Amino acid sequence: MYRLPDSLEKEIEDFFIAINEYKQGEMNPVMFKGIRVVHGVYEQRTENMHMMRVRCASGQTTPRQFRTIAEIAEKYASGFVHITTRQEIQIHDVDIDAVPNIVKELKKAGLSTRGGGGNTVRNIIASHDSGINPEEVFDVTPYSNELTTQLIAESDSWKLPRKFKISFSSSPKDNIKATLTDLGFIATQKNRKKGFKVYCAGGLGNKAEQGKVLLDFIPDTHVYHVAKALKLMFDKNGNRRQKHHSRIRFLWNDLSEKVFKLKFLDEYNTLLKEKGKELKIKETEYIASVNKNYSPISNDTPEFILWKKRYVTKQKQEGLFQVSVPLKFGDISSKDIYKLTKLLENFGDNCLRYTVKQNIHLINIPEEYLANVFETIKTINTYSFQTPMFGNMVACTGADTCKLGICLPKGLVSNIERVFDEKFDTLEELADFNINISGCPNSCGCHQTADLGFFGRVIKKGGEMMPAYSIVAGGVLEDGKTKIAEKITEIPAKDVPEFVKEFLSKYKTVKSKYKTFNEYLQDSGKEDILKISSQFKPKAIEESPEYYFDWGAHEKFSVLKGQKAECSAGMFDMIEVDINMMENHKNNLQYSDYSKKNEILHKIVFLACRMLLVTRGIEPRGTGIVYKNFLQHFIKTGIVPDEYQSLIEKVAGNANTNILADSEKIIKLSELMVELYKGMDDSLKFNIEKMIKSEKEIQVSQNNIRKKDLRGVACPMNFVKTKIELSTMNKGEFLEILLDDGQPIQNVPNSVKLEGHSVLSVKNIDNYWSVLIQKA
Amino acid sequence: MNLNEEQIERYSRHILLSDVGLEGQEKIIKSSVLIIGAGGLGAPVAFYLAAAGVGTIGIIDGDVVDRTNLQRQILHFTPDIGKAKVISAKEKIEQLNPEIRVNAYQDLVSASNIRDYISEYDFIIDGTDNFPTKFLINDACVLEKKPFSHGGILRFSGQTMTYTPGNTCYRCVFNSPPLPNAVPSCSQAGVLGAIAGMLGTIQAAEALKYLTGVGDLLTNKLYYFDALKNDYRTINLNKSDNCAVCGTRPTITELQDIELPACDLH
Repeated sequence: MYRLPDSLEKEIEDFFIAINEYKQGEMNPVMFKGIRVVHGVYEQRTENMHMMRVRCASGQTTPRQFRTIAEIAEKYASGFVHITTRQEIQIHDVDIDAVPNIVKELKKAGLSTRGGGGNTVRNIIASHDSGINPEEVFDVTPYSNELTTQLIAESDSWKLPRKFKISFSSSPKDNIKATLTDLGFIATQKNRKKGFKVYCAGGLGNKAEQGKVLLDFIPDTHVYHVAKALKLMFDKNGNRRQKHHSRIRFLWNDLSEKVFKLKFLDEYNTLLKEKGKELKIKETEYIASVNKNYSPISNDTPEFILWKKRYVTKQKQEGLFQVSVPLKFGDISSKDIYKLTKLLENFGDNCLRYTVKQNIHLINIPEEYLANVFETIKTINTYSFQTPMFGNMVACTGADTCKLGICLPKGLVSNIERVFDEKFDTLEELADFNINISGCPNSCGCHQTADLGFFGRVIKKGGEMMPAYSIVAGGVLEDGKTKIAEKITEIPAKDVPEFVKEFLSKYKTVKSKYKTFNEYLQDSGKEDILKISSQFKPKAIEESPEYYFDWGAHEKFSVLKGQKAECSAGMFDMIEVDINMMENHKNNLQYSDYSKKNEILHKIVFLACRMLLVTRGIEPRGTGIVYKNFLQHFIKTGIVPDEYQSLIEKVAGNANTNILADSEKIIKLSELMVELYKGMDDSLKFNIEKMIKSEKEIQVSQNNIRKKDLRGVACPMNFVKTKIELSTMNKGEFLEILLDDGQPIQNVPNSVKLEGHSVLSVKNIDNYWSVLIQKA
Repeated sequence: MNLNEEQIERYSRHILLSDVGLEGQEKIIKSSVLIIGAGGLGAPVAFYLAAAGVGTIGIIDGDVVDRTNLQRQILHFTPDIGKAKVISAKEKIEQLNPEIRVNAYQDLVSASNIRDYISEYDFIIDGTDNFPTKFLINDACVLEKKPFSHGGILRFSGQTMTYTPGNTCYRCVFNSPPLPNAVPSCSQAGVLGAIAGMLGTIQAAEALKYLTGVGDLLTNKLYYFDALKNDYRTINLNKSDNCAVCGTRPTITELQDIELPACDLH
């Protein structure tokens, strides 16, 4: 399990203040969104209903913690929880008023929603069978847990350019998408020493990318260094402006593999020099720890035997078993959780996990107690009595609650089950066959990793919109063999169940001829998909109106337009809100009388001072704190000229003081701040007013950059030397200079630009700066 | 050429100027300037050109330092009294900037030698105190196609213009020297010492602008100032077709000495 950091206390306190201000109407909803998503609180499709996502590192909690979450869900929310494809637990239908209580109660139980969303270090996941899988290399959960504990204590984990997902797989059979995520560790061994193969820059989503090998082998003592280095490198170089182009996989493509690796290694090697950064790893013992007073029961019914065959497997520890509890869409009621945790409390703290297939996984169960488990399972609502194909199906929540959803995967899954009802037994041989469904192209349902996947889309027929799915097939997850499922065709949502039934029937007849599903796919499977799907054509609304109602929907199909993903609500939205407010005030100035004018001017100064504080990692509320921070972070640093200092001190001292005489200065300040914002680069540095071209656009390759280290050279000699260097270069060539903080970085880039050269990037590296120049 | 670290430091404020930069400084270092007259005007010109790094500075003057010079001729110090002005000047320049090559000519310019002297230099400074020599310098520069800066001071006022081949020359404007004693000389009328500095530094700046090719020169213009009234003005000039040396039918094709009027300064 992970441990909560001390810094959480203050972060929660600030969050509660923000909630209050939002409720009082003092905080704009966009601004509030930027704060709440980082605390793992998302607005659902219905306004004012929220989802909260609880961090469960390695997909672990204790039974006690799980019970607490269930109690919270019952007391404040829908009475259900949802297990996610990233091993977290979500609480749904939460009113904003209940959020503080939930956060407090979770914290008391050692849990947190911090980083459940937003551009943060997200839940760190690990193979659900790590530590017990007979075929694994070694147990990775101590690493994912310790890494979580480290990273959630670092404040820069909460303001990255985009989300940062980390996975640990305990074996090359990558059952945790380590080869398809931002940063993936795959357990391996070299000369009998534990270590990891490191993948990065992979990811699902609209533009899915396979992970790339970042490092072939690192000793297990370097896990923190790798994660921290990638985080730092992402923070400095990531593209914050374009939300849809900001994940690490885009950075890899933008920078080129070579530059990406160089930049990473730069950070990594620096970190390796520092002592004492190794994670303190304590291996977990996997043993039976059954309550002394708890007695085994026996069962030899065919029902029990079938269940064991389907859902119970041996652990590598002799005599211990793991039990899969397949949930319907990852949902489980608080009531069922109480039953389950009551059972589990007999098996110690280390007996519960959550899987990326949205299921519950019980571990460390001695063989003689399996019947006890079975008795409880019988009383709760799961897929445990159906063929594993259904339990392994992954579906996102879709347009039910998600603002981005197009289709309703849950309704679809129920209908796939329905068409198979009669042929129940025959599906047993397809137990491992994987069907994943996403309601939109954003792949929360992980359709790209499935044997057969679907993602929601719209088909238009005669001007009417119809819910539909694209069909993908052939996803593979394995070190060195990972493959993203390939898109084949699309069909109306209404026809998907029949399609699945026909296609699987066809596959069953030829299955014995092929070693893997993929082999079949390459041979004749793709053709079969096309052939079968071609029987299902979109029908006109007059002819078949039911095609225009999604599965499980009571209303005619529609899509919410212009919805922005909650999780990427970021800094830029918050800044834009302040700018708009400021501009409105400026417009109102001329129509206002004397006393009103003064009040408006105060508001303009306040907004001008506040708007960019968020880029320095500060989300202050209240005028005093805003002005104090503005003086510290903008005036003292020289970003804003000190001619404004007296004005700020004046308004900070007294919120009613007459500043009418300063109105020109105030307008100038507001314009200056907007200028700064416009010229801010992706790494949130202002020192250049305008990026003429982004470093990426011109594809600078590290080879043709001339370098000049001007650290320790004072102004203006540093600029003199820069000019001398430039004078010996040809037009269009690149020069990277290193400058000290303070005067040098405040002056030299501007001077270079005044000479007509382009400053392509200004980057902060520890206590100095790197400036990339292209000669004019 | 590559500047060494010391040079980069010494000339850093020039290199910083976007119009000068390294390239401009290199031009300055490679250039040569002849200063005619090591007196009130020649002194500030010599100092600033030497400081700026003009590679070769020629100074021509036949006089020795006397006590009355010290009020304005700041190249010369009290212990220099009795020393040849060009030697005194060379010593100061070499202290200020040892990189400069100084050619000291203890001589008076005349029709017979001036063309030889100026032919070796890129730019000429007129720092003389009498009209016949000013016309001689002008004519020689027109004939040798050399740019030069004219300068003159009296009491509280000064004037300067810059000649470059093809543009208005000193003779286009002033035709010929005034009659002896028609215009008082410094020694008769006096001059505020600082006026020499004001005008000389303008001449030095013109020389440096010419050498680096930066900005607009005082060509076809006469700059005049009266520091007493703080009246500063620029007068536009036109090249004269009837000019005896640069007109369409020049009458001066060879240099001739004009008899020097009596001047107490010498």
